[in-house]
Amino acid sequence: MREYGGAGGNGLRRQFLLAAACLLVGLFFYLIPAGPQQSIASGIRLTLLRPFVDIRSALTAARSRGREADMLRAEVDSLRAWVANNAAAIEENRRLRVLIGLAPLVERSYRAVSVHRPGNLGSQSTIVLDLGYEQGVHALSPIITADGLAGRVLEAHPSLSIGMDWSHPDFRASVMSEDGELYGIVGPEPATVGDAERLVLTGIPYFDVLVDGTLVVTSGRGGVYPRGVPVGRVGGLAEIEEGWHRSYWVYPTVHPASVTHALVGVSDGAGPEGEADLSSLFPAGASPVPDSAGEAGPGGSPAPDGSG
Amino acid sequence: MAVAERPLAGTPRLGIGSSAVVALTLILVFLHFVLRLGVGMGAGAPDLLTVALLLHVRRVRFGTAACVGFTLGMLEDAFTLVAFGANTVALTLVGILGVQTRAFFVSTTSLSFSIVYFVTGKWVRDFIHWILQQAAGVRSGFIEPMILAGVPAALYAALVGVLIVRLIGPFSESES
Repeated sequence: MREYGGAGGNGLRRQFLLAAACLLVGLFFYLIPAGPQQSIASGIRLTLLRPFVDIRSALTAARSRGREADMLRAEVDSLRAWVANNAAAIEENRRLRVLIGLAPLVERSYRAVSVHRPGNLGSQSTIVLDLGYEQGVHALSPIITADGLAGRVLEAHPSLSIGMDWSHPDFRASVMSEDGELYGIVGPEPATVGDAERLVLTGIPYFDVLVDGTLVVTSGRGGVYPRGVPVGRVGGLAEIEEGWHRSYWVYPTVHPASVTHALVGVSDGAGPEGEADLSSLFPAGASPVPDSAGEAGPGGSPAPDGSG
Repeated sequence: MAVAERPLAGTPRLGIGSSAVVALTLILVFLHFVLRLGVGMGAGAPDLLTVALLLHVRRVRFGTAACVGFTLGMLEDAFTLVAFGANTVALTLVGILGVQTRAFFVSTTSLSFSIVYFVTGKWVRDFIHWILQQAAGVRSGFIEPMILAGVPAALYAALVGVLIVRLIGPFSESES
């Protein structure tokens, strides 16, 4: 058999070996563990594709400067008023802690960051941040928006970080109901046709019932996410294990595709710093109600008697 | 007097120069990342990576086509957190399969061939990627990604591919 291009027997064999090698190496990359995979990906991101990320950062910065100056000024004014009103309470709290011998509150600082989404096939859960470990960002830094929790950082480079949003299959967060009565773990539920992407809250005891629309916030347990950050609202019963526990659908307050700016936790150390409480930043009733949260999930609204 | 070497029967002759094909491929790849990554258009931008590959593989042998697909797939996979390597395998296979179409469709001047070629190429690339994502444990339906989103994306890529073919002329060697 003669192929196009006039390759003879040796040429054909060489072409076959080349094609087989490419395919096998591709499969090898697909099958190796996530650690080495991301090392390879990081190398490409930080070299060949870095200029495109920089273009995006520059465009986002230019857009922000041009369009959001008024909004930012209003937010700064609001923050200034908030700080002025609370300065006395903060100082009093600090003095009291000293008087009764408590250590100072461990607080994590936050920095504003531009959030980009690569838009390539297969990168749906990926977030690119334009700050890196030179600015204090580290792996596990939480990514928070005005509406609630968006995700966390996976790896930090000198001036660039890669994170995942809550739709990533590995996303998990320890959460509690807004009143602090019930605790559980949320993780993503894969998208289904015509349905909003949502989270599933597991670990709720069988005899406790969460009403639809209940706000779910981070509990602060585990030290990754600060306490009090809205995650979503309960939208129906997902699963019930008789006599054991219940699972609920949670409709997130943050839609990842719409996030362009966020706050990212920064610190001088290499890891997360204790448990901060950000509930004061998200006053009760201020969190948005996702469209789907009011609708009952596949399991329908749970009946008070626990029948689901 | 030198006698011009006659091409063998079925041997491709280039419609545009090989270097021009390489340049076109590089431009399309550059535009792909500028639009999707730099400007942030996401799926609003056509999949120029697949279009570039499908144009390129009509001019090279299948080993080279696999290498081109592999390289473009690695670039696409750089921002993938789930099923890393799926784009690489998908584009490598599409490169190899794209070369095989020359055995069946030597003439590519017809509009219908171009449309079918690009639509099929893009959809098959997405389908392979979808299979590998499922195998990696990412559960998603078939209708939404492969029909409701996949078919329009394939038509979009075909539209761009056909426009490029119309602009640069025949993209298969035997038609020049």
